[in-house]
Amino acid sequence: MKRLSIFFLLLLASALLFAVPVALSFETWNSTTITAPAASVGVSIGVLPNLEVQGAFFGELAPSVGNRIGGVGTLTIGAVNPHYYADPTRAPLYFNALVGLGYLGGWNTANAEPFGTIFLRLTPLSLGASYYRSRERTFGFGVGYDHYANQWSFIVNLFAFDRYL
Amino acid sequence: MKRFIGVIITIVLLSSSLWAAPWLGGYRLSFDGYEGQEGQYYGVHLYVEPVWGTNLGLGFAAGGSTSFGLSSPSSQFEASAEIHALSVETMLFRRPSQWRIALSGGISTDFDSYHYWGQIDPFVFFFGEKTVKVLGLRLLDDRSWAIRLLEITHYFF
Repeated sequence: MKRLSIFFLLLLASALLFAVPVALSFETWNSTTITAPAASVGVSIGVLPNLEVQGAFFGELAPSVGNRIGGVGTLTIGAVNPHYYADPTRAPLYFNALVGLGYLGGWNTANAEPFGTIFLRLTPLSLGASYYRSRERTFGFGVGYDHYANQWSFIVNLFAFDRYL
Repeated sequence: MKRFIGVIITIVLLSSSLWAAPWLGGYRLSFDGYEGQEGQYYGVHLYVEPVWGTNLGLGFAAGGSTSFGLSSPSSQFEASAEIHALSVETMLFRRPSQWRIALSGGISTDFDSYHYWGQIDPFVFFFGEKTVKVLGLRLLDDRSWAIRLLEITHYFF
């Protein structure tokens, strides 16, 4: 966990250094693997105009707070439009759809077992961008493969919010 | 005849003032998780807010939610009343919103048993045509708790 924190801090520091868009992100999670309500808090960094890296800490809020804890990492591309343009004065479209490939993993404290899911996700409605200082992502859905349980699952992110620094 | 006309005029006056008042009403979607239970409840509710203003409002909701068999009871119905207070203009989201705090109380039942509950929503964002709440904490009469992860109210009128 300490290494993960250092990794995120380095990622954030280097992103700010290279003046790429950085956002603080909040996201709700639903999945057949997770089963209970969960949320993640982290950062979204536009490393390239059409490639965004998201890293977040993840925690289940029920049946007990922190029942499952872990992290999420996602690579996201804009399916309609780049996340931003290299020319900072050029505005991207307000609407975008996102395709992301990611990993959701951590520890189930209830039964002391790890969990890990590789997922592919489509977010059909993304409004806003770094140019507009904030973004809302809704109705993200996808499929995931739990490599511990060897089973497929659905992943849903009903609502996500990014506030650019 | 005079009495009849008097009653009609009174009803018309009362109802016109009632309907002239700016009621808010619409549907509500909710996503709840309960202490000690796997699964979560997906809910649909009707909501009316007969008293609403910039700094204070009173609303009523009724609806049902289901866990698709993952929790017990599988489905439940609830009715509640809520007040919200404060109105802090914020540009946190992509358009202006008002941050509020809401307190609500209600009853949930599956018609075999029932629970009274109270709920506090510290993160309520009012956008004009919709309200979004996140991370509401609900306390039940059996001393258990629940999290309302997300609640979206969309107003039709």
